[in-house]
Amino acid sequence: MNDQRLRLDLADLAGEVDPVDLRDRTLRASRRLGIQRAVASSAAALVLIGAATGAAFVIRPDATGPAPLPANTPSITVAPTPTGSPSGPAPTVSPGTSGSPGDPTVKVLTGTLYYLGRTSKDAVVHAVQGGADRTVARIPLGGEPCVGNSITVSPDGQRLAWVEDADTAGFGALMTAAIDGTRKRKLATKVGCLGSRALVWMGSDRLMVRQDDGASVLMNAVTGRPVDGDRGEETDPCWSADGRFLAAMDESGPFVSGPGSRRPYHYDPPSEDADKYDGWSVRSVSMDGRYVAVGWKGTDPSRRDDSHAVVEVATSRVKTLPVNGEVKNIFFTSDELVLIRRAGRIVVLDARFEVLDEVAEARGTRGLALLAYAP
Amino acid sequence: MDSLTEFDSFVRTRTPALLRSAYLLTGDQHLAEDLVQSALARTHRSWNRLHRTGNAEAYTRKTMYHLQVSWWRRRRVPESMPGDLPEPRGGGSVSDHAQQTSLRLTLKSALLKLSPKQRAVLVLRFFEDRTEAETADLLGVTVGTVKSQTARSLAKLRAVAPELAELYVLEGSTR
Repeated sequence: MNDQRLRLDLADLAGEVDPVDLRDRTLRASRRLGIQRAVASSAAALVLIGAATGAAFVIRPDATGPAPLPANTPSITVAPTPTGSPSGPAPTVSPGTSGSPGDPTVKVLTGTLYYLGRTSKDAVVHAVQGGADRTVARIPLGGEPCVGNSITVSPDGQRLAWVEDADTAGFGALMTAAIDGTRKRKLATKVGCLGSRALVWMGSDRLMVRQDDGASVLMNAVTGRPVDGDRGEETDPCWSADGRFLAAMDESGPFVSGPGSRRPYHYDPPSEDADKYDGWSVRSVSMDGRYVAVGWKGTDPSRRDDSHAVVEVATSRVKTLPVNGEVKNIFFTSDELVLIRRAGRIVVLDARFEVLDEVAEARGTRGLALLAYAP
Repeated sequence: MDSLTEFDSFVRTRTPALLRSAYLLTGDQHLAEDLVQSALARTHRSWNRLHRTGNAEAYTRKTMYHLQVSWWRRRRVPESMPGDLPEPRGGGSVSDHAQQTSLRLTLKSALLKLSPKQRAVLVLRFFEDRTEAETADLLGVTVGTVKSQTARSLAKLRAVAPELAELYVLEGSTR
């Protein structure tokens, strides 16, 4: 026997595959690819332009302009509004001028949005507050996809976590750092970086990771040690921003559990899209545990959130959202807002899903993955 | 024939062959379909240029291998596979259907214990019967890398499935 036998057996094995017609799926995938490339090209061009002209997170045409940036900002972009200036004093809170003046009922987007961008060498964490887009951290990609695929920001915007130095199976060292990339620590080894949600925050101190033996482990990001307790049998965990409510799946199906409660629910995704993905999972949980935002599980590591619907857990009904067009992200914040991202804009809803405002995303962050919102 | 019709024809005639390679690369029907679909979608984006130059299939295959090697697929294939290899075959005639099935399972499991790059090298060299130079070109690596990856792949096959080593003289080939 020789190599020829291997050739024959490979051919025999290859014959197991069932022939299918991929024409329609291919054309759909091509359309999605075209859209993604257009978005990426626009973002890349705008990042270059942004170095000189800045990127605005313009609240409204009549807004008073972006807030000044903190003095220790590593890099600054100047908002192209008549009043915007990166210089001057360093308040840390946006003036929050998106609402109608004098209307006390209007909540504004005063917190910081964290996005993930990339260069050929670094994962770049953008922070957008009050209209100003600044780079807060650059984490070297190290020539591997793991860092970019796993990097995440804690719900309070204070910590970064990622996996680096991964082996060919996608398991490497779990790292944490302050939001500016300093105080880097290695917390664990043999941690998985695959999937669009490799690292999941439980509140801002704990991090659920997956080990190479398949087990999920909850790590305390402060002490750097695993948290004792039942690992549970659930999959696809996602916590509310404060870590009180957990949405996950187990053998009985999807559920949301919180202090003294456990509610099962069901969700049937649109069948016309379902065959393009690996299923769905919860992407965000409301602070009261009543609602979950659900998104597709992608088949590549693009970090696309793909959340597209809100399910009311008690009734399993899909909530009608007061927005038009394709939804790209749905995000429940710890200050009880609902952020709906679509076509370069963010619609801000209150906890009753009523529109408070609609804001344009900073140009340099359109198309980037939204990692967190910290009030 | 208009461009779309030509592309349809290309997809329908080439998909079976592409799927066979993709199946060896992924070990899973659905992952193979995803992989071929992704490669074909990229081909579609460049169809006018590729069709004119007659390079559509080469481009699609190259894209497919690059995607497979570079993707860190969310659903790792080994997780969907049985934890242990099937029992070694008892030897005997190749024509024996049961034995052939057992061998196929053994080979499939063993392949999935290789890294994506090692699997790609083996499939290109021994299934698609590509030369080392062609394999290097398709994977975007040097011939030296192909040689070393081939040797490592075969060594790993021997290690994870010694019964295969008995069947194959797994020393690689140089062309």
